[in-house]
Amino acid sequence: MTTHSFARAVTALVLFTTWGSVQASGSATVDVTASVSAVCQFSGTMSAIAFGAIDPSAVAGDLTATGNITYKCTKGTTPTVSITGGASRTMTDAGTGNTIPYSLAMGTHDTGTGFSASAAATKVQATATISQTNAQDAKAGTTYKETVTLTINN
Amino acid sequence: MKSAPALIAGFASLLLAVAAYGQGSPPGGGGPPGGVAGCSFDAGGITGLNFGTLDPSSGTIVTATATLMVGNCGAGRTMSLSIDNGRRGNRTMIRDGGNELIAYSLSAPTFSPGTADGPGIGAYKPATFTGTVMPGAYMDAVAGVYRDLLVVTVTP
Repeated sequence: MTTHSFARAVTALVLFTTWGSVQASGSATVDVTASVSAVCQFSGTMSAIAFGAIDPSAVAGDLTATGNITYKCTKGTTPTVSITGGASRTMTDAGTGNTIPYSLAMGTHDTGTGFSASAAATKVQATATISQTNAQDAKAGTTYKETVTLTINN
Repeated sequence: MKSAPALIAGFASLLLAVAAYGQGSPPGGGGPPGGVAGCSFDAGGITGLNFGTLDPSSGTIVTATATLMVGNCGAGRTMSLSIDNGRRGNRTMIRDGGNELIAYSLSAPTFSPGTADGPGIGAYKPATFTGTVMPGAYMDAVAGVYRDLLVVTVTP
C-alpha cells in the first residue's frame, strides 16, 4: 500500500516538473501578400511595313504588306494594339505631294508570356492594304510614306 | 482496494507539487527563464508583410517589412523569435484562384535598435523582419493577388 501511494506521488511530481520546465511560447500569424500587375509594353525595333515598288500597269489585285509589332505583357495578359495619333491612312510622297490611301488592320494578338529574358517573344501582325484601284491609279512618286502611332493596352 | 492513508498521502504529495510549482513561476511572466509563463504578442501590433504591387516589367528587387509587438514578460528573459516556412513549407505565395507561386525569402527577426530583453509585464517592443522577392520570381508571373501565411513564435 505504501509503495503504491509513493509511486503515485512521484508520478504527480514528475508530471508537474515536466510541465513547469517546458518553455511556453506565444505565436502570431503574419499575412504575406503581393499583387502582380497586368502590364504591356512594346519591345524591340518596330519593323516598317513596306509595299516596295508599285508598277500601276501590273497590279492584278489589292496590294498588301505586313509588319510585326512586338511587345511583352504580363504572363497570361492579352493586349490590344490600336492605332492612335492622327494617322490619316494616306501615304504622301514628300517630293510631289501625291498620295495613296491604304487601310491597316491588326491580326491576332499573342498572349503575354512575361518579361524575363527567357519569356517567349510575342507580337501582333499588322497588315496594310492598298486597293487594286488605288494602286493602278497611283501617281508617280519617289517614296510614299506615313508614320502611324500605335498604343498598347492590357 | 487502497487504504485511506495511502490515498491521502498521494493527494497531499500532489498538492505539494502544485504549491511548489505555483511559487516558482508566478502567472503572467516575469519569473526566471524556464517558467511556464512566456512572452507573447500584442495581437493589435502585428503588421502584415505586404510587398505591394509587383510590376513584372520593372525587374527590381522588392522588399517589405513586417513589425510585431512582442513582450509581456520580464526583463530577465531574452526573447527569441522564429518564423516558420509558410503554408507550403517553402516560403511561397500562391495566387488567389490559381496555383502559381511566387517565392520570397525572409531575414531573421531583430529587435534592432532595441534589445531582446523582455520589456516587462504588459509592455511590448517592436520586432521586425524583412521579406524579399527577387525579379526572377515574378517577371513571368500571372497577374493577380498572391498570399501566404507565416507563423511567428516567441520563446520563452
